[in-house]
Parts: sequence; structure tokens; C-alpha cells
Amino acid sequence: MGELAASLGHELNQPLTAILTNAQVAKRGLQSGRFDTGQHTEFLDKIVHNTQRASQIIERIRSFIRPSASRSEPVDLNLIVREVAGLVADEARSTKVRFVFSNNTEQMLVTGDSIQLSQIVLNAFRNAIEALKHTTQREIRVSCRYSNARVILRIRDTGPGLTPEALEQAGTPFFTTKTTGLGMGISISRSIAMQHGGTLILSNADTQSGGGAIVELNLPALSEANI
Amino acid sequence: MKIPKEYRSPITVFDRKLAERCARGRVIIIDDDEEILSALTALVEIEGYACETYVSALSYLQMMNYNRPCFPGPCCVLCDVKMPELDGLELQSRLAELDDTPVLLMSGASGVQEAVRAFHAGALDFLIKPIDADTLMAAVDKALVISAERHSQRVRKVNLAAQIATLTERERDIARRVAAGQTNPAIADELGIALRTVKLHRQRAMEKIGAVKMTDLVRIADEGNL
Repeated sequence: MGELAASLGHELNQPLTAILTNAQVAKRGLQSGRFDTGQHTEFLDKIVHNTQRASQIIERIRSFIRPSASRSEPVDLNLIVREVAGLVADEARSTKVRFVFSNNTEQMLVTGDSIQLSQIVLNAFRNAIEALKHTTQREIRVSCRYSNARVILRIRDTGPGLTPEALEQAGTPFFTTKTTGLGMGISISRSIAMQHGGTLILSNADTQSGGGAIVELNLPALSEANI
Repeated sequence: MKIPKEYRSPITVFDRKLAERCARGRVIIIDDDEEILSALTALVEIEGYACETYVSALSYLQMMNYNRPCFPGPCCVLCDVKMPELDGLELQSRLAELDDTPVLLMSGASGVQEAVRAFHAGALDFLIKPIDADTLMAAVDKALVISAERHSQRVRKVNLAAQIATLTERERDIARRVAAGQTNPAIADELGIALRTVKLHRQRAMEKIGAVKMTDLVRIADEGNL
């Protein structure tokens, strides 16, 4: 909880700084009589906007602490992957990242909450796109298969891979190698995977096959009897 | 010096106002958070200073390379520590290699280590966000005073170098010996010239570099690399 407080404090500092400075500018403008109503409205608007920004940050963290009730229904993981790929298509195109899907398009059924599972995939894709920004080969390879009554979704990028430190720390709340973001993505994903009776494992592909980071989501397959 | 075509433009009222602001002081603000950037700019401008803003340390360094024209006046950098690509501490050390513009760093409740590193590298102040307007402006005022002092020091040094350059080889040699504490007879003896000649050279040298007393000469020798 101390960690949470520290990060919350840090994130909130940005909008608070803007709020304080804007308020003090407005006050100084008022005292010196140099501002007209329009200018004052502008600074008050900025204060309102940054207050909203602050409350959004609190909301984001709150939703992590209290995961919303999850649904339980048959979900086709292959379908989710394609839907989410569509969501990030623009982002991928603008950074020249290409998706490579393994050929199978058959249904890969698991039980769970499709929105929450989408969140895991979305987070993995976003991280991959981010990781590919500085490489020449930009591919995200996605495969999904059945194995021993489990469904294994593998998302691999052709980026630089994770540093040993990142591999060790990934999933610790608020650990992040990025300067934007909260460092919550992987820990949220991991807790969703656990709620679904599965695991989420991060690793690096061996350098002989080109390296890159691998995210592997392993979930219990929906058993035939339940269909 | 030939001025590139795009810089050749008539002086406008806006330029004149900007020049006035620059003469009071120019604050270069760097923060990746645009909301903070615009709020800080408003604060600095309402205090009558000129303001330049950059959303990253890299974009500022690139702008420096561009060698843009700028109105004279004191100048300081106000930079956020936590930024993508190049952080504030890194920028500070790169700037320190380039010139002596005072740097103020700001950060949200950051670690003591960061602050210590910043001060070691010569940061003038380390401000903790959110920053109170009075605290911030006091730091900016101080930085601009220091910038002005450094500038006049530079000017003094250049003038001094110009004066020293007017000395003859002999006058300079003798002035150097006097500053180092040698007496007139000792100098005459060592150089094998008349005491009268030493006195004459000494007097001329002091006149040329504007030294009235012996202490002036020592100071000038110290500052101006006699």
C-alpha cells in the first residue's frame, strides 16, 4: 500500500502542479488588474480541466484495487485476438508494425470475461508496439493453440526483448520502464489471468531465433461437457 | 557575418516588446506535460519575462543547434527532471559543457539522490512540484541575477584581454614579475636593464591596463591571465 501511495502521489503531482500554478497566475492577474474576464475564464477552465485529469488518475487506480465483478461465459480467444488487433490497427500502422497470425482460425474456447481478457491482449499488443519503436524489423507474431486441455496464447514481438531487471520486476505494481503510464498493465493482466485460473508469463525469445519479448497467456480450455 | 534570408525581417512592435522582455530576462521552460508548461509560461510572462517553451530536452538541444537569433539579456533554464528520452539531469550535464546558463530543476517529490546529483552537477536550485509561485519566481529571479553577473564577468574578461593585448612584450614581462611580487631592483638585475627603464615600463603597463595601485595589478594578473 505504501508503494501505491507513492505512485499515486507522483502521478497526481502533475495535474496538481498545473492547478496550483494556474490558480496563482489567475490570482496575480486579478491583483495586478492586468487580466480581462476572458483571460480569467481561460485559467479557470485550465484549473477545471486539470482537476478532472487528477480524478481520472484516481479512478484508474481505484478500478485496479477493486476489480469489477467478472462475467463467466464461453469466449473465443482467437476472436478476441483479432478484435483487439483491429483496435490497435491504427496505432500499429502509424508505427509500421505488422501483425503475423498463425494460420489457425478455429475457435479457441475458454471460460471467462471477454472484456477482461481483451484487456490482457490489448495491453500485450500496446507494450509490443512500444517496444518495436526503435527496431528495424517490426512484427508482432501471434499464435493460439490447445495443449493438455489448456489454451495457450503466445504474443511475441521482434523488439529488443526485456532486460533482466524488467523480467524480474515486470508485474510488480508500478514498475515501469516507460516514462508515461503507471506500470500497472502487467500486474493487472496477471491478476485477470489468475482470476481465470490461468497464468501470464513473460520471457525473452532466444537470440538465435531473433530475440524479442514473449507474453504467454495460459488458460484452462472450455471442456467439451460444458459446451 | 551573413544572416540567412529567413531571419531578415523588419522589426515589428512585437519584436520590440519581446526585446524589452528579454532584456529583463528570458526563461527557457522544458516540461513534457503541456498543461504544466502552459501554466508556468503564463506565470513567467505575467512577471514580465520572456519565455521559451519546449516539450522535451531533445527539442531544446535541436533548437540550440539551429543557432537562432535572440535578443540580449540574462537567461536561465527551468527544466523538469522526469522526461522521456533525455531527462533533466542529463540535459543539465550537456548544457554545462556548452555554456554557463544557470539551470533550475523541478521534480515531483523525487528522491534525495536525484536532488543531490543535480546539485553536484551544478544545478542552481531543485524545486519540488507543485511549486508555489513565490518560491518559483524567487528562484527564477536569483538565476537571472546570476546569469547577468556571469555575463558581465565575461565582458570584463574580454575587455581585460583586449587591454593586455596592447602591452609590449617587455611591459608584459615586467608587469607579470611585479604582480608576482618581485621588486624593481630585482627585476632590473635579472633582466640586465636600468632601474629607471624598469620603472618606466612598469608605469606604462599599469596605465595601459587601467591599474592604479599595486593591488589592481595583482587582481588583473589574476583575472586576465597576464
